[in-house]
Amino acid sequence: MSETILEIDKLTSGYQVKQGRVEAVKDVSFKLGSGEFLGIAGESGCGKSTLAYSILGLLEDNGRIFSGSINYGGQDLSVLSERALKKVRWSKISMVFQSAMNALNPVITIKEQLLDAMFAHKPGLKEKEAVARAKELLDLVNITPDRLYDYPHQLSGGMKQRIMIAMAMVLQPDIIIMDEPTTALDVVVQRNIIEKIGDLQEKFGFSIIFITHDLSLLVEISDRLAIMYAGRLVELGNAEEIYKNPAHPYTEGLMASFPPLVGEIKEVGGIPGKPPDFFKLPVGCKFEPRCPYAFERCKKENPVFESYDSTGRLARCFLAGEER
Amino acid sequence: MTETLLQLKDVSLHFPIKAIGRSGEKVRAMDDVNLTINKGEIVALVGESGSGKTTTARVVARIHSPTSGKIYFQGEDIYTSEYKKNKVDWYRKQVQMIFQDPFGSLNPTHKIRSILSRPFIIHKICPKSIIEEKMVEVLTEVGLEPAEQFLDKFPHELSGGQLQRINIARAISVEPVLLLADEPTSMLDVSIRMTIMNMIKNFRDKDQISYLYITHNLAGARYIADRIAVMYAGMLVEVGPTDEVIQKARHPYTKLLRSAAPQPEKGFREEKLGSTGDIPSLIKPPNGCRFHPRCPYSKPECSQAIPKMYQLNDNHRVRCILYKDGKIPDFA
Repeated sequence: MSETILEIDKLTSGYQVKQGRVEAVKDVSFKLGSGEFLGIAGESGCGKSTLAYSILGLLEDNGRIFSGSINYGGQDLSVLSERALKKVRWSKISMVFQSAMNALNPVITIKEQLLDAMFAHKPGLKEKEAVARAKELLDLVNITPDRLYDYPHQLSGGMKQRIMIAMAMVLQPDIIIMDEPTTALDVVVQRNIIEKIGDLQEKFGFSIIFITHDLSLLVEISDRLAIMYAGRLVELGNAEEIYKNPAHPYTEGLMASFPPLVGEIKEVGGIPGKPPDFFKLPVGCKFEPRCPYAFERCKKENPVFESYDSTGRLARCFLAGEER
Repeated sequence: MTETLLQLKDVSLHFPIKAIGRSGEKVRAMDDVNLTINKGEIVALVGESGSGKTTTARVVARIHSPTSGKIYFQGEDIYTSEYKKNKVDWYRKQVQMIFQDPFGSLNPTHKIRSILSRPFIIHKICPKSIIEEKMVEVLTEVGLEPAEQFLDKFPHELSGGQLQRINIARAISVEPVLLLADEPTSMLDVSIRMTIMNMIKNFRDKDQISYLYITHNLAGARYIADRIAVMYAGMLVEVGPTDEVIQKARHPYTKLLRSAAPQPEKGFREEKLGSTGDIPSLIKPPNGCRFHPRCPYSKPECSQAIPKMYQLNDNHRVRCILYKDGKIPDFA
């Protein structure tokens, strides 16, 4: 793997609510390589978005990082003051938000919104230079520069999404976190955006953390894949190998949740049951109640997240690497 | 022998624009749509947002009446005044809708008991005394058990998958013969989508319910449907048996949809999509073929006139002039 740019170590974060503490992200560790495309997949409520917000220090008021560290550029972002964090946020690590179509302010023009980010981080910047930079960015995402003076409602969903990507790239960050950037879009537009992201990554070399529940899409575009369940990573490894041979039963279940476009039509069943309540987590393996391969040990003991073979793939299952 | 249940004949629907200074303009949501659904058949209507899929379902559900064209249900025109007088209540019982957004389509202030009892009362399915029993029956049928427990819940207490099951329960409680399912799984988590789709398939197999299944997911359409109709900018562009439409996609737009769909089994794809751009405005659609501005194979004559539907074989038709000689062009 290339040089590590971001290292997350035993991160536990979540929310303080009336009933207690919700650890939406529990004990998550991974490294992100420079120029790497890491996909994170899981069902709604598995903690993927909380993980993203934790990295950027954007958790809501009741959100906390309980323990662990987020190491970027020799600093631990989890303990940084808001002031220091502001220097990193957007200029070094930026984000494309979920339902970006609604993330743009409807009453101001695209130009003002793009320039806002620039002026906030580079106070001395001249308007003329900023506009030139904004036009350059629009050109990068294949939108004609005269669209700069449009309001969001004048643009299509795909265009708004591309504007959001342009906005994330304004300050040439090292890492862009994308939280379900294509979920609300049609297949053709989705494909166009994915292609665009690939081109831009090739050109500028930033790293991407791409969060989605659509595993069929991730397998195709990611270098490595992380699968999350109930706040924990359950599998992490090379995307293609995970697709060919999932080590965790949950990954296997996710793979069986989309019908194929070619080849034989098999009866596919998805995953029975639903994700656990964070207040009533099973004692042993968190996936045990839904797992078709569960046995006695799974009920009592918590499997550790470890490498089970020589390829360096990590999985949280007693049966990883064995015939199921 | 297959029995035709529903037939749309040259159906068009244009919504007039009411804004000041724009009178006379209209949104051409559906143009010249011809489609049949047989008894016990699942027909998938596939297309991008704004292609007119939902409008098609709403026209069939009698929510909008068509500007022109006819809709026949079991051979009878459903938009005659006589039909309206005598049979419309019966028709509304035969044809039910499942909506896309399970969170928005159930009244949040009512308990499931009240939501589910409405169809029984409105359509006078059974005496009031046994409604409770019937509701339990239908909840069990959609896999919500123990059913009694669900009756006293409010919609916010249930998950998206459970709400969609309630939606389906509400639709099947009146024993319809045709269900209009408008993207019933697109707002659900991937892991639950398949169980909902399998349930829909089950009702077809068990009760011979027919479906107009609206989706933008080609792989999902392939899994569930007997036939696929592809819609673009208000017009059907290709209709045929599922296998033929997927494996031998003929219309350039169907090909585009097919190549845009994720295919993890292929690994990372180097080749790019042949086309970009968005679906055109339905107020001023392009002249001629509505797909020609985005079509990699377009010719000058494509912008002259709207192409006809060319019949490739008994079941497969395509709206593209490349097929006018009845031959399959090289690229296909």
